[in-house]
Amino acid sequence: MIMFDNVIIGQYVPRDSVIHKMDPRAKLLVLLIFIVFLFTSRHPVVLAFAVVLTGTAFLLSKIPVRYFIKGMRFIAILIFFTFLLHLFMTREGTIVVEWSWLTIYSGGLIEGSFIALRLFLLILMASLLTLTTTPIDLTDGMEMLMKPLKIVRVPTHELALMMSIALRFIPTLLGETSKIVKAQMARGANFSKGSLWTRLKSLIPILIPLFVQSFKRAEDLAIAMEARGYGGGEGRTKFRLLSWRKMDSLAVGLFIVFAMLTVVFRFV
Amino acid sequence: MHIQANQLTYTYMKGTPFEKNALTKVDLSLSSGQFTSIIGHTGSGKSTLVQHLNGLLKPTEGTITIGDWIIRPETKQKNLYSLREHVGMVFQFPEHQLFNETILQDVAYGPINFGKTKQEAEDIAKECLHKVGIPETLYDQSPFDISGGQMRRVAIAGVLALDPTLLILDEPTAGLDPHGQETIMHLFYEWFQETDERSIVLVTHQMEDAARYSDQILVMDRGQVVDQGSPEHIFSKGTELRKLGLSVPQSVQLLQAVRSECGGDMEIDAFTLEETVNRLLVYLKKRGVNDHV
Ligand SMILES: Nc1ncnc2c1ncn2[C@@H]1O[C@H](COP(=O)(O)OP(=O)(O)O)[C@@H](O)[C@H]1O
Ligand SMILES: [Mg+2]
Repeated sequence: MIMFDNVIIGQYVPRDSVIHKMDPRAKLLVLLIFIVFLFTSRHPVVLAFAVVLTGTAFLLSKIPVRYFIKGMRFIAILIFFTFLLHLFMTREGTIVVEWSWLTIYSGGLIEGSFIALRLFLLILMASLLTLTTTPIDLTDGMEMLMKPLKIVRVPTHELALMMSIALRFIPTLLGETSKIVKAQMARGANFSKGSLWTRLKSLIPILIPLFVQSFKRAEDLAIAMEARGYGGGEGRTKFRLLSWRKMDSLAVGLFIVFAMLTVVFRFV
Repeated sequence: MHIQANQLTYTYMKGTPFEKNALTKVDLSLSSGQFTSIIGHTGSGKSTLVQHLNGLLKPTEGTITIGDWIIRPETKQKNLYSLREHVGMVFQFPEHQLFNETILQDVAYGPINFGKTKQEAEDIAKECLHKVGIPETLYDQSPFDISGGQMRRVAIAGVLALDPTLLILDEPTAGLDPHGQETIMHLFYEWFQETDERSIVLVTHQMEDAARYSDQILVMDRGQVVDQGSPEHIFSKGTELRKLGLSVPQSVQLLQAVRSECGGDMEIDAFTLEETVNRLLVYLKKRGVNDHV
């Protein structure tokens, strides 16, 4: 189906790159550091460093640029709106444009650009994680990183399992949706005609079969897991082991330097 | 409806790293009023091809013509809406499309979409449900409370209710028991014979069905139509079919085995039980074993 062809959220693109080969724990840590510290300082040096880090990571990942841009279209609109919002709402600095009811201050321009740039970098880094890591690796990494929380009785294994099942079924669900949309279109469904209410109502013939099938599948899965003796995380060993290499330490180290830099520039 | 494809090419997810060519420069022509079967290994592009016949997919390159509709890569979706009124489509596991509160309402969904009033649509629905053998007592039940076989019939009634001239069947009997398969195929064939202009395009893995019902058969392999002809023609090429991961009907296999064991000469294009028995009797008589039969 045409409308699902460009979804890149949660999509994994297999490539032979250093980023793909990194330990998922390292990638998660790096992303976490980046998210926390990106908004700490707005010094040009920090931003330049962030741009270099993200740009290098993207280039190393060998993700096709055109594919990425196509998939980012929707996000780009969001970023643009955020930019506009800041542009019009900030009333600081000198007046740049004055045109009937519209006044744009230099502060707004700067503020908007900063926010847009940082948002863009953030989303790029975050999508790079899912684009270069298989869902299984991702959940394994998360489970390991969450381990310390077990002490305070957070069910880390169950959380990781839930997430991996959810991720596993995204493609299935998309495929199913596409099939049901086609089947109803063949029976004359029209999703782009009439008022908003009519259009919303036209989704019912899609949503109900999807729910029915999802519940059925959940039940089948539960039975299959029980039949094979699945009993939760206690004493369970791993089939695939993660391996932390020099490259991973290097990446995490680099981002710790970035974090320290942001803190330094913030208070200088 | 006459169907013609010219250099029809389709690529899934074009412009992404997952690009997948499913059809490559397919040329074909099917005249109206015919029963056509499409056979081919899984992934050979059968489903992709038939989804072009009611405009669910548009060619990436080339054109496809169905009756008065010409579909090109740049054709707009809204121009294809009217085509779907004339081309019905039964997908694999059609029961997954059921959604309405009652069976009757579900079958009436299609006709209402194409402008029938509620009353008209319900009359049509009743007629179609009767045709597929759903008893009247079930009309007001939920389509989720009946057996799998019944669900499939209800879904099929929902497609027949559109009163199409061309009916596309994409593995409609998958997952049914042998008896259920036969009844459903029989139902489609009866529908097909009701008027002269009705056509069917059937995608199937059951060589027996392809042989028994078709006027002609298309053989697909890796996104291309590699052979087209009468069942007799197609199933006389057992070796070629096996190379494509396909087989010939069991009746043909039997006759072939008898002929190659006992020698002599026999036509092997029998597709029903009766025909096969007749062929064997004639063959045995010719070889002078009639005394023992
Ligand atoms: N929605 C889709 N997205 C990407 N590739 C697809 C999709 N549907 C089918 N394909 C691919 O296109 C090829 C043809 O598929 P299909 O037409 O379903 O074959 P068949 O019906 O003969 O089994 C296959 O290689 C399949 O993997
Ligand atoms: Mg198929």
